[in-house]
Amino acid sequence: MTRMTDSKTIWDKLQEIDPRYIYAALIVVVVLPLLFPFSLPNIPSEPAVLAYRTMETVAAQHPNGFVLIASDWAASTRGESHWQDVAALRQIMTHHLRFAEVSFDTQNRSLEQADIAAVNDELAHSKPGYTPYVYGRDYCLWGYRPSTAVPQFLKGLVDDVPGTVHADYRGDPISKLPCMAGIATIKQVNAVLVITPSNLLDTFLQFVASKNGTPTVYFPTSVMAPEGYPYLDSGQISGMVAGIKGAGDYEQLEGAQGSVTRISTALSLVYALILTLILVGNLSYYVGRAIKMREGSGP
Amino acid sequence: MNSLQSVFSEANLLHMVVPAHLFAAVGIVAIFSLVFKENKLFRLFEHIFLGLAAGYTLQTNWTDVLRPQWWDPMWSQGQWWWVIIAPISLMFYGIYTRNFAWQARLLFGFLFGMVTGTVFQAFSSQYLPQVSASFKPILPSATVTWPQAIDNVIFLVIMLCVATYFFFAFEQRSRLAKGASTAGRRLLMIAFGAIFGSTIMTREALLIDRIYYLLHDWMRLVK
Repeated sequence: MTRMTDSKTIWDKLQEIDPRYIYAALIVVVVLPLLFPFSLPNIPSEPAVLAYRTMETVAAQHPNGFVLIASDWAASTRGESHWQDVAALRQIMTHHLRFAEVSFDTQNRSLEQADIAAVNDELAHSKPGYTPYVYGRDYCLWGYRPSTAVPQFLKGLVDDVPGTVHADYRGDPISKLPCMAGIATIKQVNAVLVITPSNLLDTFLQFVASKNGTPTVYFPTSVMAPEGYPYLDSGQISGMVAGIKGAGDYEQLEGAQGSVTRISTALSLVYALILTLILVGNLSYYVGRAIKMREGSGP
Repeated sequence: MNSLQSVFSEANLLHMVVPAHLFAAVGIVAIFSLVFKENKLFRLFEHIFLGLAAGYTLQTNWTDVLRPQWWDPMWSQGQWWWVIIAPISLMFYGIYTRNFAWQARLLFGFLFGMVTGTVFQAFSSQYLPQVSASFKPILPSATVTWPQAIDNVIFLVIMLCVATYFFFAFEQRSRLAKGASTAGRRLLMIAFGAIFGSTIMTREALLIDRIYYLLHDWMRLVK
């Protein structure tokens, strides 16, 4: 037994580690793989593969297809939702599908604009023959709609898209935008992508997908992902890209090993650290207790 | 990783001190400084963040919703009847006075009624497909492989156990009901554990994203 000078054993000390040392270890574990990148083996999850294949099928069947992106993520979940958004946009813009985006959070539209510009720039530099997206011609932003009005908005969208949306975020009528040509009802929308840290998907399933069978792909944060599996199992959604792991899977499927792959590695190391600390904490507790019991019952 | 020389190059340093970049970086460090110790810098940036978020929300609600859909049609397009929205909306504030609280209750009642209607609809469109999807073949056949059949049996057992746990219409006296209920509770705890694990992933992703911002976007230390 290792006894310390202040009568505390090493097992007692291990249970009283100053949390600040743990935070420092956490930061080191995150920083190292970002500075010195290496990749750990990753097998894309089945829901992410389904999501990817669904969008590939949509792109193959509808070369000039139209995708609706609905999102309500903001700065508070940017750590996951932003990377999911980038992965989704990369696939859409690689296939040059038209798309519209509607925000149900006040911060979302600006964040979405930044992501579209970043992906447009990335593809323009990395993909030969890529025609950069132009606002109005290839995509548009419908702007912000209050989350309390989502049911009414979606109900209107099913039968009359221009009549419900009226104008984009600039105030221009969407019926006059070239990218909205031929989109009168939700039936003309080839896929719906729901990127959300909330239960926005429920409302979409209720008012949009259940009415038309529009392929719906779900991009939840990790914490919301378990609630998505019943919908996946019942076929109500066509795929699910769960959190940063899902975004990494998606990036891998796209063949674009980039930032998310690096972040996924950092996340794996963080999990390894957490598991190690849980093991150390439990081990020290049980060993320490066993030692005390032995000393208490000894001569 | 870029060489340290390029990190501390003049161009990079100028990029780091651009007010917006510097403000974001200091803000991130200040907010995370709470984990080491409560401090005034954290408090300052917490209040700045809350103020910014509240102001931004107000501004977006005006520019994206109220102005184009209410103010402009009423003021510029002659649709004067939209003025009725203003007093109706103000009725919500009746909740702060005893005499006019009924006005707020009237609106809340209207909203509750509307939500109740949509919840009824939600049951048929959201949950009925899940009920029908729970009828799965448990015997292998030409279309169902052995692994699928085993999967389906596991699914069925878990579903019945969890449903038994939530079935309170009769006292669970028989050993079968008690066993199924206990198993259901333990299976639920496993599910909650999985959800907790996912929650950790979300929180850690937020931390990694902010550190990535500092190293990649601010310091340009990683490409």
